Amino acid sequence: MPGVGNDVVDLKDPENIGKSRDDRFLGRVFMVSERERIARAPFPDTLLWSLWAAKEAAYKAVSCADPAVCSIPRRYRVVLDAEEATRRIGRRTGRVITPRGELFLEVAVSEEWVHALAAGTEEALQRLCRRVKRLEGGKGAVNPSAFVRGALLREIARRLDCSVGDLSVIKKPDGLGAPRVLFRGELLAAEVSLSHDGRFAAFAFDPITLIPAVKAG
Amino acid sequence: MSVEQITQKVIDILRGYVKDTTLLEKATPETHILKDLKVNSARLVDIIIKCEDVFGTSIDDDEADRIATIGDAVLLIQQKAA
Repeated sequence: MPGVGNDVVDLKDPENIGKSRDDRFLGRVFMVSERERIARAPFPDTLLWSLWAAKEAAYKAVSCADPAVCSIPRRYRVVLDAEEATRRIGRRTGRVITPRGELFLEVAVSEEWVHALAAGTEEALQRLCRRVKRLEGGKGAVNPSAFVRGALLREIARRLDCSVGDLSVIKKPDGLGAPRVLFRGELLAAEVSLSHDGRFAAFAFDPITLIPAVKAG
Repeated sequence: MSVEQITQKVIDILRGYVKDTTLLEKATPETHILKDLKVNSARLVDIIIKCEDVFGTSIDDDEADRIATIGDAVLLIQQKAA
């Protein structure tokens, strides 16, 4: 069963601007049909990073259950609503066809960032708690990994009506698989997804999984 | 080209993409490019393209998918040069 994946891209990061003109990058990452859509798009960089974030979110979701699944972007086909994909700002839905099956997708686009979410069912996708946060102090002023973990734990603490100190984020020693959360030393069922890029950090998790892992089976 | 020469060239390439270059001072073959050097996935694509240019080789999708550490990149390039 796939977990939850999310990915944020800072559209104003200098390394991300103009990437739609980088033919070799496009060739490595996108299928021919995706490249054609990017080339025709009124805002090609925005569509490029929307598709990229969708592939990344889907990879994170499927790698929760199968850390060995391939991460080759071209093997994750993104299907966005055709009409919606022509808009610069807004929320788009779609699917990602992954090496481990099809996932449901939502991509939110603002003037400054793209944020993609992927989950195994439409219901799970709609339930997801998702946040995009601007790094306090700006890019380089804070450790983005620590910042996004802190933001996630504050949100979970609010929902569980506990102290942030009761919670911690753990990862397997090999760094593979989704991060998990301990509540007073007990593993929660929730698989969380963390992301950061440039000036932004983002997280997502399914709120109904904020229960002890042993009870969830 | 020796393993040491390939390793040095790979580290030189990484220097252009790693924000905190002090992380490269302690780099070993086991250093994970994404997790230890804090390189994001999009930049890893750029690094693979740069490796193709610098070493005059082509790296296909499946080969690229196996590159997680500096040692993985060095080994792949060494094998392709053999």
